[in-house]
Amino acid sequence: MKFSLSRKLSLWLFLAVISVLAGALWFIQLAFKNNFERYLEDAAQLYHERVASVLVESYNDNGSTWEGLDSFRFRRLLRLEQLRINRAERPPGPPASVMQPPLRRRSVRDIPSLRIYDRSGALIYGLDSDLPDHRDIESELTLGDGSIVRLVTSHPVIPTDGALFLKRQIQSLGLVSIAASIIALAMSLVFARTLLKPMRRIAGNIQALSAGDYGVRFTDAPSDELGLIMRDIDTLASRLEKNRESRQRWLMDISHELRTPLTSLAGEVDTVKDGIRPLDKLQIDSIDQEVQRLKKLVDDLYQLSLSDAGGLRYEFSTLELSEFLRQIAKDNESRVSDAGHRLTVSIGEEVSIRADEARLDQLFLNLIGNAVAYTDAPGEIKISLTHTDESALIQIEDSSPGVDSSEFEALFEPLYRNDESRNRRKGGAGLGLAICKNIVEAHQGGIQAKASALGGLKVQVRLPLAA
Amino acid sequence: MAERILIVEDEEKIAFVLRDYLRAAGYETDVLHEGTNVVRLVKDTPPDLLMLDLMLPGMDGITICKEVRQFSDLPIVMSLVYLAEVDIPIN
Repeated sequence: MKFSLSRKLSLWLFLAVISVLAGALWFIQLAFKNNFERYLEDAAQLYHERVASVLVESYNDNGSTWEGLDSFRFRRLLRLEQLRINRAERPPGPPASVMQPPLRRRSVRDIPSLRIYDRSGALIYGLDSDLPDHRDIESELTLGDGSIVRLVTSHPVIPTDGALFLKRQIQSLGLVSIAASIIALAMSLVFARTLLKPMRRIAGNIQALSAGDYGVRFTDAPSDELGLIMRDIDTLASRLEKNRESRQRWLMDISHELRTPLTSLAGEVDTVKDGIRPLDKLQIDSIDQEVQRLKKLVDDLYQLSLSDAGGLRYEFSTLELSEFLRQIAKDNESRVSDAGHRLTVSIGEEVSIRADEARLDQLFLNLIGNAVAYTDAPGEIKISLTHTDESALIQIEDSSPGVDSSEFEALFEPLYRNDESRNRRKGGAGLGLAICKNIVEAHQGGIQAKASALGGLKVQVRLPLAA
Repeated sequence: MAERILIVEDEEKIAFVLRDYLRAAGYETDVLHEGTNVVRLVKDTPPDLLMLDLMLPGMDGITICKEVRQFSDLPIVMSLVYLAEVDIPIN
């Protein structure tokens, strides 16, 4: 997998570099060709103008006749004109004649063809034939005696040595582009490798995670985007690790919770079987107690799994919370007074929330049950309802004994019981508050434990108001 | 005189099942449901045998065992009712 990705990346990088290079080469070549052609055109135009001026001068000096103008004389005249121009262009400095390099000898083929026509179009001088691959430049000349002639010079479209020059340029550019391609390929290979190195580390760690090794961490995550992914994977790993630990812990705890009543049951049944204890009402009651304890535990586990967000279909409807709480208080009055406590209720104005009534019923039943179980008689249990603009706040408080503030959060963990309650064995398996937390969270609310002014525990339930 | 066994077990019913069996076998038994006073009691009136649960409120069985061993060689039986629990105190 990793090799194919690195290969792909190299290939794409290489292709990108190559296409940029090819494009650049094409443009350079095009621009060069254009410029070169323009240069040749300009040179031809200049040449034409010079020829014209030399011809006019020669005609005038010669007594208004073309007689005696042969190609040798013409070339000499042209050379003198060139010297004059060079001098004029460079006024300071050493004499141009010294600097002027000897003119390169041209082959006959290279001399631009030259023709002169009179006004009627009759050929005066030169060969009246079109040369292939040549371009003509024409102009009218006014001679010293007032007669007008037409001058035509022919120029090769691309001169032989110009074409060669162009070809060489393209060749050398091609060499450059081959060298650039090789460098690009090498760099893209190195680049892909460097880029994919952290990817390999990520792949390695993810493999370890999926194999169940949650201890792997990236020791030096870079500060780029891949580093962010690495840190996210580390977070995931530690969450998985924590999850596994808590699941093991949970299984251990739940097996302990199931074993304890089962061991008691088995032990008591054994004592009867072995004739150590009589099978009387007392013994039956004791066995029944353990059976009930097991039943409650299994019921609670079922409720817990149901109340877990997503585990249960909650049916929400609008609920008048104050009315609902008054009813709850009424339903629980005898339960509280039977345990020797006093129930006080403080419910403010009407508020409506969106809630699943059956689940909310279970929530407050659990909370009041908890308060009754963990309060020394005679005590006080208080239910109150207040609200803000966004949420309703329900508080269930009890009198002493209280809970240490360090345990407030742990109270809502499944199977958590402090030593005190564990010893007293009054409550269930410690699943009640965990179920409460699930129910409140399914209502988009929050649940918190605090110290109550009554001396015991205060459980605050915050539920969002109906819009 | 019957030999005396001290049972330390926080689950009342399990403790009483143990007690009933040991009594039926002719031993004299004492039962404690939490770990706080065990070491003091063993020092004051040493039993002939100590049965210790691992997880106890107050002080756990391993700690009690270590403290008792500081001053006494009396036989101690660790009751491993829950195998799963062994990891917890030892960890």
